[in-house]
Amino acid sequence: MEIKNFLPMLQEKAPQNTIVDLLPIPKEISANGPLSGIPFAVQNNICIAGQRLTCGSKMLEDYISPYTATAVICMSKAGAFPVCTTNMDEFGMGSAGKNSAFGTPENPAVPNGFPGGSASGAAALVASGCVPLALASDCGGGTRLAAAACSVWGMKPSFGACSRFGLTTCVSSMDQISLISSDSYLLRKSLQCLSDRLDPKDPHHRGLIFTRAPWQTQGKKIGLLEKISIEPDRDVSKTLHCAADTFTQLGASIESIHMPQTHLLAAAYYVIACAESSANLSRFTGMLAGKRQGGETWEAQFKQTRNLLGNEAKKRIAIGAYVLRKENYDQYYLRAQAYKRQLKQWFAEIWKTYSLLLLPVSPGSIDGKDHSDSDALYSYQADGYTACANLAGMPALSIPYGKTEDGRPLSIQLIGPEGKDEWLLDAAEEIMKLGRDGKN
Amino acid sequence: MDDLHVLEEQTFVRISDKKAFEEMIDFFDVLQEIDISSFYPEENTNTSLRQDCVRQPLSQEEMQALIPVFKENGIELPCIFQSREEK
Repeated sequence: MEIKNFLPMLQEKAPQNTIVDLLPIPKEISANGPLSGIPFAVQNNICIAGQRLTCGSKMLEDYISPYTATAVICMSKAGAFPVCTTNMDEFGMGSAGKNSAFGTPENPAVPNGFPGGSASGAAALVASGCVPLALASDCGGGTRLAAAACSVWGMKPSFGACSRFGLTTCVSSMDQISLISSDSYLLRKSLQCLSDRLDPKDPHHRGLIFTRAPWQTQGKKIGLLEKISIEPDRDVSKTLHCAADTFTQLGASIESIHMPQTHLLAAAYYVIACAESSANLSRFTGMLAGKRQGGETWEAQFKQTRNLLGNEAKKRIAIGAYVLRKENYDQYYLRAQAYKRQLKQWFAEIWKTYSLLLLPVSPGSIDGKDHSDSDALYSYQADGYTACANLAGMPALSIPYGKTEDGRPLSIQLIGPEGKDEWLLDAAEEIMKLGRDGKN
Repeated sequence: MDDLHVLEEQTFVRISDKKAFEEMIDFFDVLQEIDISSFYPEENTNTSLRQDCVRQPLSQEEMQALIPVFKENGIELPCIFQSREEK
């Protein structure tokens, strides 16, 4: 296909509500880079100069980004070119993909199914085959949940592996540039491009060192983490054991492990996430940031401007303000911090014995069930399966792995030691070679 | 929760589902199991970053108290910061 015909095709074929804006095709595309000629989508909380940066919110509906994110520049230097921006849950808040101010993206993998979130548009667009690759963000599992719901690969690199300069973070201590793709090769090449040079504009950017030493599953110990707080359903459990059997066939030894105090995980994550969201979103008052609304008094103006935020964002802002109050700070926020440190220590001990952890992405199917209205607490607790990697700063990968009897996608998740991001891709590629049933 | 309206005033947001909000706060109570008697946030780690990341929104009084400070430095704040009397 000629490149000039790409955008009309994208506009026509993209699933509903996935694309925010189409981008002009660059005049020059690097012909020699490792990603040369690869079109990619960019989640709409990552800056591209001169383009809208909505973050899935009415608050930033007309905001034009003044500069381009380092991640987009790195990908472009490698020869890839951005073709569109994608819809997302408002400021990355949500697990089902229904919290965007611009509609719920259609999930091409499951008719009438939710696309998962927060990276709903990016995952659905990759799943549709319109683009092979998307840049997104992951603060508590948003990339992996959406990728799992849409049956594509979703990767959250180690904290600090990729520059976050130009990413609109809502949960500053956990948010990370992430990748969604239809295959592991593009994930690997993109990760190398995003992490090989340190970005002076992001003080937390540490990069990654790719060892290029071949990974061998043979002889490795892999921890099987079957349950975090909520019991996984039968299909999820069956898939997990199927993946464990495949690792065993490849020569790894699988051992069941238990994470201590998992009933605290989701609470600790949400205390921190809401606290940071509350602080980060406090700037959107219509004064220096946000779409200013009219009002007779300054209170009315503030309130009307803040009313542009969606219900989930408002709830998290209020919760964040509550847990940060002087009288509540030690009870909630400091304890959540202490839990986070305990979790990091637990992971540090685990990596002395195991090379990787194998676990579900979610305790049940993500695409069809929407607990965010009927049982919000279930939804929050279920996020513990993905949020543990964000709390501890570890890399994590969700891999599409078979389907249920009624055709819904199933996925597994791998978590590895900090900085060993490529191990996840190596191990995933090995088990995918054998296939879902352990056969080629 | 008695002071829910105070939170709404402070943050300028109206919570649509107060029951869900209260359930969430109750859900956080499990954190009381964690012993923080020997916990001190580290410096130069993600923990300290996190504490730099959070701050409470300013109250109306606090914002108005900033007006003379800005004026002393030659900066006129927009009228949205001023009280009704000043307007």
